Amino acid sequence: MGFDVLRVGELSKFVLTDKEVTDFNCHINEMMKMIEILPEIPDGESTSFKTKKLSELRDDVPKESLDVSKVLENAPTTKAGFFVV
Amino acid sequence: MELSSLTAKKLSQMLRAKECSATEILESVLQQISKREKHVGAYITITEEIARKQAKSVDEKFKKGEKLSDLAGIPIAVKDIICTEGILTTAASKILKNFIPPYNATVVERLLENDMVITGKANLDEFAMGSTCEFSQFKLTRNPRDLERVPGGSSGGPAAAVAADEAILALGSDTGGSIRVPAAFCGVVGLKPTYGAVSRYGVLALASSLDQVGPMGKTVEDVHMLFDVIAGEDSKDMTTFKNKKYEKEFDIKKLRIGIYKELFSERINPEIVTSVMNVAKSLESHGATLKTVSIPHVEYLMPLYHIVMTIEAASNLGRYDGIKYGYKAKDFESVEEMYCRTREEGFGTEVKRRIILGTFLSSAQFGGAYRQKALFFRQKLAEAYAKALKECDILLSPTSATPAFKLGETVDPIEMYTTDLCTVGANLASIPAISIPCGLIGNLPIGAQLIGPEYSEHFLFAVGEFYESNCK
Repeated sequence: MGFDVLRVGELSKFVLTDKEVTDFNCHINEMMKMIEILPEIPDGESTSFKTKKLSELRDDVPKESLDVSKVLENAPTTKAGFFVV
Repeated sequence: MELSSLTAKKLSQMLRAKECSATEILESVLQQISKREKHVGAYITITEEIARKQAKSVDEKFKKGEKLSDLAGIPIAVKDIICTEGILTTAASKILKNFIPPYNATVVERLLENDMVITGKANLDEFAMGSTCEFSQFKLTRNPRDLERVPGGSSGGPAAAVAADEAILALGSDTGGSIRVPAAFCGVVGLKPTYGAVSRYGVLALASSLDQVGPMGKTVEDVHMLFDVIAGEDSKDMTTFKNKKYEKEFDIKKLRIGIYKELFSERINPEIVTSVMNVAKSLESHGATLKTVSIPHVEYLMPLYHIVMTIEAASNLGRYDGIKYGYKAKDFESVEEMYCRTREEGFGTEVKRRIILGTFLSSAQFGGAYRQKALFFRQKLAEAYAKALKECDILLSPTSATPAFKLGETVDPIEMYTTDLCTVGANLASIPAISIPCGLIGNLPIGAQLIGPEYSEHFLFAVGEFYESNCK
């Protein structure tokens, strides 16, 4: 299956330059050659990565949150206490 | 001898013996920064005034007779991917060039609870994507051992700061070797802890199933002390664990060292092979047993790593959209265009390349096939490490295949990606690994890597401390 850099760039939310299109096409095709040495998974084998650690759930109790005005200090544009999209 | 050139352990003893003050230690480090920083470029931000207040506060606490942590008053550089409240945190990316976090990462809280003195935010490859520190969007960091060479990456700033005596200790992060490779290139010690040993809360994410924060220092003992400060359960990071003890006691006469066969191959510089084998022989001469151990399919390591890392990076970096924080493009006619222009203008080339590869590999076109393959082979790899680490107590390998490259030498990204060949396995298998200086090629340091089972950090420290005390 071919790599369409413009399509993937669009999915990644980039407006790629001509040079990036050329370079990424070349590099990512090279990367795919490296990645494709992984063989197929034998039939019937599980495809999960098991970690021994079990995630422990916290009690569903609200805790102190960040102050809204402090959070908004980093936003490029705000209005009436909200982010502007 | 300048205070800045001493170890954290020694400075801690001197503070307690009232042979120096925290302010004197800090001033010695700041003087070193003023001398060396213009050549080395370890820091993105130097927090001189904050550090002076912290050092003064430590001196006052000592005067009052308060019992303080062993690392109280010790200057530390923090990689600029770790959030520091009120202090610029950029990930070396233009997209975060003005980001001032409203909170501290848990590891930073722990440094402050232990009265450590933060000297600044150290340089890195943008969003920790790189092995040379040349992909910072802000500045070049040079290797203090040879200014024409890279310090390694991505934690090149933290490693260079310690090596140049511009900090006594440093915090880095390691996704595929980003603590250990720069530690090896700069001749310092660096630990990648077990996944879940150290909280990642407040650390800007690259690949969430691989990232770990870890300590860097001049000696294993220093790294040990810093690990004990930052490690432990955190309710804000559900991958952290508590009370996971590794039971084995270190005894050099009973130590079984596995020589990791595949990482002593023709891919590795022969002088590095010789130096690392000398570590093995030296430990053997004190009673350790050597055994050659095989973890097959070394050729799968880099493909596996790049599938996992790029898919997770593409997902994690989706949050940089110009709305909540960070850079926002100026000219756009729609929200879609604003997202695209913000990301195009804010991210550097290497970050875009990895996001694009990760997006491609996880796209519906493949129905998750690459991710499933990666999960399957990652599990097999973790099982192979676990089996090898039953046959022996630790695995020994080089930390990197070569010493530090010349600046600009690795222009080919594919070539650069293989720099981490010796280190990615520990991240994929979620186990700890430490790099320890073990010699020189000319003036360039070489690192030996010790890999242990889950939770075996203190065992690795014991081996490393034995090596430093008895074999060097």
